[in-house]
Amino acid sequence: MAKDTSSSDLLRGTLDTLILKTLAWGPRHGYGIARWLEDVSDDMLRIEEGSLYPALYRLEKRGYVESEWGVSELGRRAKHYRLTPFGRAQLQRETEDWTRFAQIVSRVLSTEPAS
Amino acid sequence: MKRSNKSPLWQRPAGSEVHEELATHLELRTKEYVDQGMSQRDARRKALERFGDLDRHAAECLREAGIRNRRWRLVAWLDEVRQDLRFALRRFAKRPGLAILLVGMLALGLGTSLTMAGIWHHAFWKKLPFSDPDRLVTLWEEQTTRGKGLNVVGPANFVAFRDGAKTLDQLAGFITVPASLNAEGVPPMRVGARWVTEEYFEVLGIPPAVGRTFRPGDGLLEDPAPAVISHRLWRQHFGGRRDVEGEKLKIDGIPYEVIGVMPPGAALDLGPARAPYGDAADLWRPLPVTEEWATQRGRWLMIVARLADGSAPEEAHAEASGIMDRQREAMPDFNAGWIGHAIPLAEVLREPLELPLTALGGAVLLLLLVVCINASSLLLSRNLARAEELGLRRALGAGRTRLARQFFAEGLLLAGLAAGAGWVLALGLRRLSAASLPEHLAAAASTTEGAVWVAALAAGSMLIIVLALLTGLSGLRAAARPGSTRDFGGGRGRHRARAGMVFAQTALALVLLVGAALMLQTIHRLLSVDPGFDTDGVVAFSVSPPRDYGPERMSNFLDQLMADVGALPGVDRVGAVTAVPMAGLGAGTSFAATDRPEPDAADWPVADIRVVEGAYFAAMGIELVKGRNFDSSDHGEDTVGSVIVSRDLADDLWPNGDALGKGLHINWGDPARERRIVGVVETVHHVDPGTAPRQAIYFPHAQEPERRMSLVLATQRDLAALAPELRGSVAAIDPTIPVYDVHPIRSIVRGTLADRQFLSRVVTAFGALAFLLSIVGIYGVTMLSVTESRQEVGVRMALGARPLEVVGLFVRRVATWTAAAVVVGLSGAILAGHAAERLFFGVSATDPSVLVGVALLVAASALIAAAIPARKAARVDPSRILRWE
Repeated sequence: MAKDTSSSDLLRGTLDTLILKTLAWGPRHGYGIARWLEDVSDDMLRIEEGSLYPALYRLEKRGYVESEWGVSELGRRAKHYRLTPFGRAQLQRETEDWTRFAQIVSRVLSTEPAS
Repeated sequence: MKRSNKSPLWQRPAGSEVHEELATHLELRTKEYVDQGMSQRDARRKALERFGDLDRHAAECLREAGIRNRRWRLVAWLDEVRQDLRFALRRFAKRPGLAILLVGMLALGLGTSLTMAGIWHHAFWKKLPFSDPDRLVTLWEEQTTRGKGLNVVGPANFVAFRDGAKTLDQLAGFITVPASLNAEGVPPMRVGARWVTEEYFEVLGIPPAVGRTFRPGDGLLEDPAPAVISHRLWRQHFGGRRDVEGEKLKIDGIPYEVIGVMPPGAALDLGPARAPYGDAADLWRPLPVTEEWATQRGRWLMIVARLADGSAPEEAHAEASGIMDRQREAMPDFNAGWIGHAIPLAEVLREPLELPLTALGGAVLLLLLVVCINASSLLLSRNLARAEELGLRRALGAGRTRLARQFFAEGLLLAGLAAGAGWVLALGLRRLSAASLPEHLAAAASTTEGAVWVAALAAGSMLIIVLALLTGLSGLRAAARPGSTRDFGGGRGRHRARAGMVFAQTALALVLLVGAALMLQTIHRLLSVDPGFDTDGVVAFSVSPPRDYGPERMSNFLDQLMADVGALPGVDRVGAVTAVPMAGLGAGTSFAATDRPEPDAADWPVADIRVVEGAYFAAMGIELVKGRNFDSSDHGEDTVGSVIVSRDLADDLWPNGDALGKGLHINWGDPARERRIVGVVETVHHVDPGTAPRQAIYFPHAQEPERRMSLVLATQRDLAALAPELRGSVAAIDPTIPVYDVHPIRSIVRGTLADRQFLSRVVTAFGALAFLLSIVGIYGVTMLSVTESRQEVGVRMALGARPLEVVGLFVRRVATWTAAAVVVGLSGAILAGHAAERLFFGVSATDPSVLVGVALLVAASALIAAAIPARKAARVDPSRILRWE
């Protein structure tokens, strides 16, 4: 996502949901999350990778994820994140919200002007 | 806000943790690109691009994690320092050679500084073990016409001081004499017996470790007399038993009863230069002050006194002078020309140590400077070499403070290692110096306060850390200018700093080398002074029979002993004397010739007095210039005594050479008894080779008996084999008499040079080390310069410059620096030389041959050290150089 500050709140919220969804597939470190999103979206979802981390910290602060230090594939220390039950519930809520939102928007956009 | 964090308590997310997390991400992304075929550099750049603004994201993370908590910050900071230390350790392990060199040098500087600090503390700053030691003064007399300095006090004047001094609370007089301790089943031991007036312990204010000290009335007890023993004697002889009170001792034949034990360090020793018998005390016994003291002649007392409340040392001094003024009037013949002094005790103890210890301290300081400069230089080069790496770390988000902390950690590590090694070194040096330092300095070296060492170590460590920080930060500055490692212009500034440091070292080394050269010359000159006697093939030992040896018994004892010793195989000639030359101060007194009007009492010349027996002069190799040695014709009962005088005395009084048969009045024994000169011997140095000899008068033992004599024998035999035989000879006559101070004359003479010899060894060692370091430094700097100027050299040579011109290019640069270093160094050497003038003998502090010689040596070495790498530069093929870039 581009550095578009006008829609930053919406975008930030979406990023959070995406991260939670990624972690629903299993614990990962930040790079792993970025790669998963890349692979799943066929590299069409271009995120500024650095912004993942403040997001992760936010999520951790809220209790949706918990972190643990481990070792990366290259032997360096890396922080792994994992979804908490609380986070899992939040993911459920946000997925429902997003789906409903998308349905509403879709309905509005699919209306045709009367001709 | 629940922090669900599995990490242990001490691993809160900290700034470095955030950075580490992000760095891992970048590393992984970079690897991905590299695996796709990108170059390392491109991959990293792309990864950074993709990541976005590293600093901003990191800051946001920190904000989210709420790192405003101060406690977390401290723990985080410590954690980072720990990481830094680990990193620094890893880096040192990668270049162990450099690390060892750095630590080794710094440890050397620290270790020597520690030892020096300990010595200084003990000699100058440590509080004396007496109560309120600043209120203690010592009293002395001085003969103004002779100008020989402080002299011990006469009993008559002691009484005058004691009764008349209002600025002094209490006075105590004392004298220490060598005595023999006799006990069952052990060989007789030589001890120092200190006779003290009853106020002694009160004046000094030392409580006894065991038992009590003297109280009024103790001076009258005689059989047994009360004795307080030293801590050392208590341990050695009584095994440190607490129930030692009441134990009996026999010293010099006198029975004693132990009433108390002194704590360690209580034996006040005013030093060998200050007393005829400057022994450390093993035993204190009362010295009764009788009525006769008020009129007694002779000077033999040392006095220590406590200032009255509110009095200052200067007032005591003025008062002592005044009292001596009155004494000069009261006893004009005895006191004419004598004045009084009151000097604070601390000053008297400190004075003989000042010059040698200051010189030693100066040498250590110079070494420390050289070591610091060298270490900085090494650190600087290393940090400059990794300027690129530093720049990259900057780009990866490490802040400037972060990097500064890295340097701090390196400095901490270095300081820690160097401190540890330095401590060990200092312990070794302490043992070494206690063994090789001259005696009065050795005491200062063998005891140290842990606190002093810790303080010195802390100061040294901080210095190292500051150095590491400074050199690191300047490396950072170099990194901030990208490409400056190759840039000739940027290089020059750094090069100048390095060159400056190397040449500062050269200047310092020069100062040390000049000092070493002067000291070596001094030793050489002193050793080549003809002392007037043979230094090789002569051996001496001392005996101290008990008090009940009267003159006749002593005489018989001596004759028997000399005969027995003379009969030993390999012993050629034997004689006896009261004090062997250069073994410490002996007695002296004033005299006058009888064949001319007597001068005023104050103007009587003074001569060293010795009592001799047997073939003393022959054994010592002292030439008999005229007349004869003492023989059986010199009886004790003769009305006119016989004396032998030294050549300078004879020449002084009778320049036309007819001293034989002339008469002298001497203030010794019976002053009224006339003495006739029967022989003239060569003048002898009695104090040390560097001090001008004084006129000497020799008495025959038969006429002036003495109880403590030293035997002198000429022998080619090795002393180790001979010594037991000598002891055996004495024991065969009287087993209660101890034999001590068994030395070859040569070692006695060398003993007088001990101070200077030690100093010269140290300064030479330091000078050589500093010199080596600076030459290596010059080589290194030139090498660096050569590598940096590769391009320029290539260009010049391609344009037709000859190899010699290229060499000259570098050597010229070095020559200017060397010239500056030599000028600064010589100035420093001249200044230091002036300050230490008294140390030198036979050579001036500004001796031009020494200065020029050392300067030439240093200059030549510097130029050669520069020429070698310069030649290498000139030999490289210019086309290769130009292509390389």
